[in-house]
Amino acid sequence: MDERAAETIFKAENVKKKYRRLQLSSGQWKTNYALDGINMEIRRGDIYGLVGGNGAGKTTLMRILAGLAAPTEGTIELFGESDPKKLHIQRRRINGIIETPALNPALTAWENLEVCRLQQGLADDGRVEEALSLAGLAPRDIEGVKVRNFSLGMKQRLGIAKALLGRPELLFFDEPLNGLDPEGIWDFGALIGRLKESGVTVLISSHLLRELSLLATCYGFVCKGKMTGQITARKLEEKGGDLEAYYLSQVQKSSGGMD
Amino acid sequence: MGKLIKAELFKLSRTFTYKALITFSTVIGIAFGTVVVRGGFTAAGIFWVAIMGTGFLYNAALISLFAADYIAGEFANRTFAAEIACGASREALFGAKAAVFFVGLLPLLFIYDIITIAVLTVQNGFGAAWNADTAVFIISRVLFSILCNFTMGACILLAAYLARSRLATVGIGAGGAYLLHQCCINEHNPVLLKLWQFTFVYQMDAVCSGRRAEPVPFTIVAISSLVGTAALLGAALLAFCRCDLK
Ligand SMILES: Nc1ncnc2c1ncn2[C@@H]1O[C@H](COP(=O)(O)OP(=O)(O)OP(=O)(O)O)[C@@H](O)[C@H]1O
Ligand SMILES: [Mg+2]
Repeated sequence: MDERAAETIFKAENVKKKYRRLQLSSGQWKTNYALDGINMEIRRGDIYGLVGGNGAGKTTLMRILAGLAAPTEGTIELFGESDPKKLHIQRRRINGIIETPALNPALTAWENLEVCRLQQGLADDGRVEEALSLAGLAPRDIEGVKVRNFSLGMKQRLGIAKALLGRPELLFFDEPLNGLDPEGIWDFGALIGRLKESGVTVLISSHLLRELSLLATCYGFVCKGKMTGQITARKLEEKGGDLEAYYLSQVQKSSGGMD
Repeated sequence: MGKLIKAELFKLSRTFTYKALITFSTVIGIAFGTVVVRGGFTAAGIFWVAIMGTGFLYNAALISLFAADYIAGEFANRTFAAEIACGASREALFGAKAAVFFVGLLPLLFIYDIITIAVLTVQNGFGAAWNADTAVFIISRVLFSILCNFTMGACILLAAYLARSRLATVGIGAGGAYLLHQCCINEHNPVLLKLWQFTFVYQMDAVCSGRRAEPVPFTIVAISSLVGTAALLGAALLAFCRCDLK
């Protein structure tokens, strides 16, 4: 990954996340490592594709980045800050969606964004309208409509608008293509392209490898809570450019199979 | 924290449940007023001032419904998580939420009493001279009911932060209040009764139902409420700062 000379904006070092669950059948506590010593680095300007199977730990990693869960072990660093008590200050420079967009269904799209604008202390400079239009929500479709009456794709688009509102430097999207129609997927790709041009860094996890390979500039492969490899899109191109084949080879490698 | 409070006030102003609860309180106040006018109720306004804000189960139900929507709803919608993900500190978020929650409780709990006092006063007169003693009496009753209801509010707020679900908050809030009330009014052991005196349950019941011979002195109400509210809010803050969010 040495060809990525830009500044590191997110770094995870040996991050572990342990969950304990009481097994009713045996009456014993069972320990499960959702993350088992993850190391990764995101540099400014990366469109970082996080790839891994179900239960690999992608969402858990994003939740730790977003401050929703604390690592059991290890450290994360965001814009050079690694003190857990001060990380929230750096989180003002990030935003995103984890799994499904977090919206208040009893409010309209505009009200949801207005709450978000007030919370972040952002200027009332037309950015709400700008974010809605960037996310492809037409005013006539959403005027006066409560979010509970939105379609899945409209909610996803509103979630994207909410993430863009504060013009963050790092965006994270966990399965952002879920619920989007083909046009929505295309729009999302175009949006990521525009963000890339303006220097925004993006972390995306997705199972749709073909779509992801059109966007990402580098990839990290997660398997059973471990980072099994990181590669830039250029290096992957040199190796034949097949993301799916490369991912499967990573899965085999981590399960002790042939490389 | 100022910007978080602004956002919370905006949310409150747009929340349907809160507006519905305020409307419900107003309707109940007007309905009770009508009953008073029609029924030849002879009590003066000052009578209601003396017992204002002490409708224990009614208040518990209103506060639980409000906390379920306003606090537990943030967990259900994952909007707390969204705010933290873009830089709000959990402490500031909790502070802003609690401040607006308590401010929101005031109209919710007192609209009904204010309407009733107004109706009784128009119908039967106020029943006391407008002098310094009356003013002190009114202020002490208002403070008493704010203190007791805020302690109850803090209990239900803690339930909302622990349960993190709307239904569980209503269940624990209203059900818990009912159980506490039953335990308190059926307590006859003199030692345990002494301990009950430090709780808002006993303090409100002593005024409202007249079951207790002596209302609890104001200083005890003030100290026990402030200590209780602080402890409950501290526990809720600790639970919020430690929890993993979806
Ligand atoms: N709150 C929790 N309690 C117990 N186990 C959990 C919890 N959250 C996640 N896990 C476990 O951690 C592991 C990783 O989960 P995670 O949601 O991060 O996977 P993922 O890579 O996002 O999967 P998917 O692609 O299916 O979304 C899973 O085995 C999951 O069961
Ligand atoms: Mg996931």
